[in-house]
Amino acid sequence: MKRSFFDTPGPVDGNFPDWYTEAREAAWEEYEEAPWPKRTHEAWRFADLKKLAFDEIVDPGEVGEVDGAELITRSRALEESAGRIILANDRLIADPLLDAEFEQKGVIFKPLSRALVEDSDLVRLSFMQEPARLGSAKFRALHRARLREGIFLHIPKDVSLSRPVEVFHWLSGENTAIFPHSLIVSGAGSSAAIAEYVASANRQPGFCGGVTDLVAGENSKLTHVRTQNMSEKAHSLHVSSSLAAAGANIRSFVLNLGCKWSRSEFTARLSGEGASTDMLAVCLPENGQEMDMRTLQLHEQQHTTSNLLYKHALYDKARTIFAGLIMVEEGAHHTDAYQTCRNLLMSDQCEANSMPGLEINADQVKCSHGSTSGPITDEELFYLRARGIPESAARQLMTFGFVKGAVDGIGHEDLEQVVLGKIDRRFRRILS
Amino acid sequence: MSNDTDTAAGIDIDRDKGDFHYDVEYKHDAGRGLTEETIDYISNVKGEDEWITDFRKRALKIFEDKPMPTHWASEDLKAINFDEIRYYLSGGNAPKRSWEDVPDEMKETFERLGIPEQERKFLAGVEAQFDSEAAYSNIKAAVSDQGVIFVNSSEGLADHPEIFRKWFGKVIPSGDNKFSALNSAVFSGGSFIYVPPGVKVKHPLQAYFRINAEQFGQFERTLIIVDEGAELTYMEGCTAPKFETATLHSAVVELVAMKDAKIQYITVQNWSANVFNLVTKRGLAHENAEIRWIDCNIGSRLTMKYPGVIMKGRKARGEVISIALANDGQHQDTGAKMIHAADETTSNVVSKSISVGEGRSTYRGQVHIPKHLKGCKNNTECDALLINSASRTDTYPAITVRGNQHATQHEASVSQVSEEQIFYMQQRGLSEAEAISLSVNGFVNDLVREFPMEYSVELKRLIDLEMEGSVG
Repeated sequence: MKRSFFDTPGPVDGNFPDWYTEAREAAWEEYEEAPWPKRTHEAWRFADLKKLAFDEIVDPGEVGEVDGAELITRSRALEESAGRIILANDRLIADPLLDAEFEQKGVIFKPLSRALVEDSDLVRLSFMQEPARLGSAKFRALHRARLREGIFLHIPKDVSLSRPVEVFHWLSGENTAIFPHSLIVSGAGSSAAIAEYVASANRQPGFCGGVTDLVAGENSKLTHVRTQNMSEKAHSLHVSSSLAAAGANIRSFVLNLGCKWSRSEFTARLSGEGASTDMLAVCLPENGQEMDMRTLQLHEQQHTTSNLLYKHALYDKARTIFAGLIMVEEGAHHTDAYQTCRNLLMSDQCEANSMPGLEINADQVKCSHGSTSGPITDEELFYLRARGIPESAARQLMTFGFVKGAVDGIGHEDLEQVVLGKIDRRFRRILS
Repeated sequence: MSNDTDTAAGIDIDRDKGDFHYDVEYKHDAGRGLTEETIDYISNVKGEDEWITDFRKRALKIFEDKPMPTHWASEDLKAINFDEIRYYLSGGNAPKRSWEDVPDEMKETFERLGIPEQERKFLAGVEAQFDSEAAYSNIKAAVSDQGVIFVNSSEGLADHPEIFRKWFGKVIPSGDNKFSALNSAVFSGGSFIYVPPGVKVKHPLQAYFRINAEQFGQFERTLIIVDEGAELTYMEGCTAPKFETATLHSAVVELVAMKDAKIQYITVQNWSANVFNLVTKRGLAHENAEIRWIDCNIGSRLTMKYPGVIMKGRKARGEVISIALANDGQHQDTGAKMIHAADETTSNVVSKSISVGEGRSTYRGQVHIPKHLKGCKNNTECDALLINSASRTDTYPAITVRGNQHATQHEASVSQVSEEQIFYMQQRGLSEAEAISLSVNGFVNDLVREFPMEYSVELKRLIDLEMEGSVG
């Protein structure tokens, strides 16, 4: 990645507003000037930077019609959704769908390139407003400079999206790099759920440098599910942020299955009184996969609540890093913040690193964090085997129960089923 | 080489509890700043062997090369001016202080802590009236019958190199961190102890006496070797406020517990608010050995101290129990480091911190369990109590576990003395201050009990004293 991106990004197609194209060019300079991460930097502690530095990556080519048709048929998840966008190599490969009912209510759900032209002012209000606070400022700049396509979801005031919308991000072709962008904004008193699925079309290496920004207006409710099932040779570096205004609730869930190396940075800002957030994740690395999860729960106002639950089951030579920080800023009194990371160690060669952190600068705060690492205990296995369940099935059952605790937090039955289906397929493969 | 004119000015520093000024003349003074000449001077005064001088000089090089660890530690470290520090002062002429010179507040503090009259004078720096030399000699005589060697660092290296040289700088190499390198370059004072196989030292050995005979050290170096099956409890510090003239205290403490040995190292320290207290402490536990650090940190401007245990032998055990109290203008950055390097090793960390006023307390921990090991366990608990709305607390643990034969758990909580609790106690006739003090004592009670009785009594009083004025 270092070498092949020395060339400047090509001009973007379309009649984009000046504020967008100018910022895109500035971002390229910012990327080039920012230093490469070092292990001595606390935000990159334990990270295997050798895996980050690879240099064969190229800009994506078009997806052929035949391949495109195949990817469209593979883009199936929810039985009923309110809308669907399918992107392959950061290009639209099927017409975006949105139920007429919601379109009439003013819901915007469209590719970012269209929104930039048609809803420029609305996009500009929230587009890339949050800095990368957890170490990837350089890659956030790269994303902005290379960004080609993404999605924009905007729910007007008091509108409720009764069914979730879905987005498929496909990566196709050898060493292809995509930079999908998701901007999701809910107006005051509204509610919505959205699922995004990132996957490779084939087993080739590639890179995904995505950014997801969730912006919840006063008393609105947003649920975001992201599943990452890229090829085992691919790399991913995802920077997410959520911003909850007064009384708003944001629930985010991440499922990490693929990639040789993946890093996910998630900052949840609680910027209004009474705001709350749930941050959930399940990571199931196997072979030599490394999954690096960095989180920040940023309490800026009084009476805010955050609840983080990350569950990792590690197989073979897998490696995980969890670095989470609860930051309670001055004046954010009466904060409730919880953070739990549990690692289930399934092999004698896996490695789990945990860095749960707290910084408390306010009064009347209830905070706790817990981190555990350990195997399934012999007692648990014995109990199931005593009931006639073979050991391998018993292990799978225990692990499934272990991760389900985090999936249950999504609080949306259909979305939970989609996620559990993906987890189940992974377990079946491991078992066979 | 003597810079006596600088001496008086050097001691006349800002003290938070009154203007405290003594005219002191030192026999040996290496002047300000640190160069190879400083080291030659120290080595010369001490009459050290060449290998020690070389060791010091290599360490100086490392110290100069290493950057300040501000990429993870407090920026406040930058406030240390290494050129202004006096790296070696030694007695000879006893300081001429008298009890009348001691400020009333300090006398009152001693009174309320219940420190005996004789000791007060010693603690206040009024020397020669407290016969520490005699007390020290008594202890030394009692333990040396059992073959225990209890000397200062210079004597240890000069008189017993066959015992101490083998382990000196091995548990904590000079290059471990910037401050262990600094200590290795300019160390003086501290205790070197050797306990022969099978000897269980009944009475705790106290640095208290040792140090007085030597003057309080800024860069003390301690090395304790407890041989197979032997046991030792060592105590350093005291609960009384120490009106330290030096602004930088940087000690290195190395413990070696051979097979089946047990070491308990107890520290209670209460520094004045101008002191940077940057200490490296680590123990090496061989098969079935046990090392316990019991640590209480009060005062100082910035304390950075993370006692560690390397569990090198099968079934070795490591433990850190720590209490930290940070008041206005103070930052207690403490924690623990547990390195598991053999099968079936277990470690336990229990840390409790209290932040009062604008004080800030930080827990920083590291637990490392490599692969190819079996049956390692770690338990870490850290609890923080915030007293006032401006109080701060942080927790930054790092836990690495490889393989599925181990179990670790980490828990941390942050809480407040709740209004309901205080209200409940006030209803029952306690004042607000008493109520807060009671709930703080309840918070640390299970750890305070780990300290020897006389320490725990003083500790409780000390906490009460620190809590004063934090209400309202």
